[in-house]
Amino acid sequence: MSHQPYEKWLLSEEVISQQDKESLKIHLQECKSCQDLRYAWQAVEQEFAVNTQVEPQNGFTQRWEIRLEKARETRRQKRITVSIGITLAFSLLTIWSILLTDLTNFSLSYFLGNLFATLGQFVARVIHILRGFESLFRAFPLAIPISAALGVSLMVTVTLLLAFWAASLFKIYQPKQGVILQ
Amino acid sequence: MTNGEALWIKQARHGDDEAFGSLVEAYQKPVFNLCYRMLGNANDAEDAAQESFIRAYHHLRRYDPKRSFATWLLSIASHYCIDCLRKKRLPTMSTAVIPEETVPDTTAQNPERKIFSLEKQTEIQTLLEKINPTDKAAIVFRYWYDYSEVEIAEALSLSVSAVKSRLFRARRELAKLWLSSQPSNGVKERRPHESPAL
Repeated sequence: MSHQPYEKWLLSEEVISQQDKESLKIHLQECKSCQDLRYAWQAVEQEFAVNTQVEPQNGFTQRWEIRLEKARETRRQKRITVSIGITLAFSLLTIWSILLTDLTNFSLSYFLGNLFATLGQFVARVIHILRGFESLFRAFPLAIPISAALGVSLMVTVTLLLAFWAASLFKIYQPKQGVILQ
Repeated sequence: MTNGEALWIKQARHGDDEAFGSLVEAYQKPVFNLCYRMLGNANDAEDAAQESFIRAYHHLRRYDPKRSFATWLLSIASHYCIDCLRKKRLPTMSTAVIPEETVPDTTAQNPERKIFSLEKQTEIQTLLEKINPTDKAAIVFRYWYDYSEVEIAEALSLSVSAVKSRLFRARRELAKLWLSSQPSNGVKERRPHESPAL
């Protein structure tokens, strides 16, 4: 026996026509399944009516304020970790790039604009540069200002590191707007 | 939403934590109740309600003042609870974890009614735990918050037809679960109390 649309009529809130009501009444007289469904749903609805809204234990707002502080601290720690990670990664990348770059032809705008391409080029040029240095060492061992090159690299690296650290610290400790909860 | 609440929302959006604290105070009961109905025990409900307010606090700038704040807040809470239920199957609630506040004040003088009320709550909560989380949310919005199908659709980010379909499915499932939870002759015994509406 088909229980549609009777089940739908029994369980939906839509108002049905008088004709449909008659049809439902006739169906209910002969269908045990729909009788049980109707009775069960009425019982469940009565139980819904008995149930009231529950409340949390006293002090919910105070517990929420404590939790908010903890959440803020967690977010702050996360930001610090991410900032340190990004700074370290970028610093290492910078150091590595500077060490691998032919300093005489280095262009910062080209380097930043084509970072990935540059990295690819660096990797490809590693052997070439090392071989170049090797041949220079061999040909003019006294003419290469190694200390000067190292000094410049070091200064650039330290400056970049300081700039990133300053930016990170500024971002992390930027004062928050609003009232601080007591 | 009262003028005071509108002002609190405005102040909270400008970073006033005390104003948001006032909103928490005002809406703690509906949010907690929703979480309790969804998750089935007071500890998980407290945790979910607190987390819902934290999320609301962090995303307050996304709130559209033209919409109902309560619906927006309950929407956050319901989505959080649905996620929780999907991630893990929470343990079945026992009467021991029903918060004391669940018993209406009017019955405080009457131990029999208090016990009856607790039994009913346990019974309905046991039924609710067995249905799909989103269907359950639709039922809770409908019967504890008296939301229309349109409001439920807004809160649960569903279409109205999807809400109708979910409500129908949930009602049928709850009715069948209720039938299966009754003694074999329970239905016949209780027929005399049946509503004469039909």
